[in-house]
Amino acid sequence: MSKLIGFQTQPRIRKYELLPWILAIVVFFVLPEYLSLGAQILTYILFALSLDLITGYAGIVTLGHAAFFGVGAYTCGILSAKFGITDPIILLFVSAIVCALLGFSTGLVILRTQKLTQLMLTLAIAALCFEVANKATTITGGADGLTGVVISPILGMFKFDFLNKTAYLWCLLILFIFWYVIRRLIYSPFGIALTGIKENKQRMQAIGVPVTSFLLKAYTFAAMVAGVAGALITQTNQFVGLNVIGFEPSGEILVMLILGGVGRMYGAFIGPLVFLVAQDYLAKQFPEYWNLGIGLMLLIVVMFAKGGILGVIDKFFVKRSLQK
Amino acid sequence: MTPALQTIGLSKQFGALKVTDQVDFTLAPGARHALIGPNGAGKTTFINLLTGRLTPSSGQVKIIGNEATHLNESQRVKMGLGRTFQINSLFNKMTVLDNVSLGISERLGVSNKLWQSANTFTQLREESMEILSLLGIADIANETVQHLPYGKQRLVEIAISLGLKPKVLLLDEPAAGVPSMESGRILKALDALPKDISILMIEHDMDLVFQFASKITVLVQGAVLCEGTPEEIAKDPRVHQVYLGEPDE
Repeated sequence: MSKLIGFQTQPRIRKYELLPWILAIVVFFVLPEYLSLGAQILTYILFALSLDLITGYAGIVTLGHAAFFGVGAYTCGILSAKFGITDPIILLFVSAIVCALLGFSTGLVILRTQKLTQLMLTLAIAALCFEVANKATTITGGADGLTGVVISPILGMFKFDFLNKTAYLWCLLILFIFWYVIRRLIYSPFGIALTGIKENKQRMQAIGVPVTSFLLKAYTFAAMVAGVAGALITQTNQFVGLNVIGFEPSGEILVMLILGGVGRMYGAFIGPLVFLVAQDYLAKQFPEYWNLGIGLMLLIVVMFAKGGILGVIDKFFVKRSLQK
Repeated sequence: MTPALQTIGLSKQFGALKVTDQVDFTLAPGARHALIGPNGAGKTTFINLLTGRLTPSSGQVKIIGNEATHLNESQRVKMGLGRTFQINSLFNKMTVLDNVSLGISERLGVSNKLWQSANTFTQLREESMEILSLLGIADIANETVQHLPYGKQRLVEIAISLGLKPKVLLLDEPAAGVPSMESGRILKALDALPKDISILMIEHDMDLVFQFASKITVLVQGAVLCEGTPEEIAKDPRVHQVYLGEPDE
């Protein structure tokens, strides 16, 4: 188990932290035919990262995080398809604000509760969002999905091409920005206070920390980031379907995070990568049974790899350093 | 002088059960005061009413002369009220140093900082180390709390509360669960606390109470039975009756 980040932890960026970025750039040049999948993975990494902040660090249990992902995706899609706002930066910005507001207002309710009650409430909010998207067919397209999404070139210069080169780099850039911000947050006193709340809420109250207000800040921010991720997926696909909102994607993102490793930042990178690549591969090889493969993979991780894939890697390195 | 802590007619009822019954209590500034009473006397409830964990059914709580009855826990901490827990309530996966720093960081208003890296606030480390030295546990500063023996964890429990620079400190059975050989160490640590902190201690260990306190209040069935110096309390027949029972008349 790697040590928790504390007041004495050096915040300098370690060499292994550069790996994901190098890998992402290599993929761009070496595997151009996979950029569509790549952009999707980058978006889900951002989504998982926002979930890791509130679940892994602050200890908020949620099965409804895709409410924000979905609302972000639909906000972006509807603004483009129905209101003709097509600038990708403005769309990201508005989606972020809408989701931050939604996160703040729902956070006011759910953060007063704990454990199962909290879980149920987040689930209920995600289910509500799903039903709205499903039933308000005139603006969301309902089960058929929202078509007619048009995205202008970024800064008027970089056009979203059908090979997804622009989308891939755009997603990578946004992910990089938020990775940096979230990393700063995690190494800040506020970040450590969040870990303190996860570890022992009662004591945090007893040392004078307004716990609910701290959690609300984190929750609002995470909702905003998830909304940005949702808007990115809309910009990449130029289409919004019901699969971005509600219980199913909420569960999926949690599964991805657990697969990678919770509360350690890079679990949010590894989880979506492994999950989505496996899904892509299995869906091609076994179009009818691919879910079985995903299920088996999860079973193995849960039974034999505590702490997710990162946990296993950790153990491996600890063993090696002990043998030396 | 303004009392450090005062309750006026403080009562708490759970349904028909009166757990705290019209308690008028005063903690003098700089006091070493102990609250004793048999099991179920309502000592912990009383502490929870003082800290704001529970809201009273009626009555008032004043902290250093200021009305605090309707304030929540963290607001009361900001007024200078610190506490320790009867059962350790620590950050088990963190180091001892971080356990103490968390409280200091909140007191100094640092814990709101979102952007600056935590390790740049060197004052936290210095203040934490001072407290750990005071309690004689500076040597375990970098150890993870969950790996410490229980006696040392009890001292960390006190260290965290000292980080809040409390004017009033509530110690909820500081020696609970500590083997009697080691309770001397706790007493030594308590003796080292700054004299200007007003302390109210709840304790079962009578040796500790009589060595530590200059004033004792006895709580029975939620109400104050009597109050006095250790000598007076030791002689009081009502206290003997409560603790030892008396043969039927």
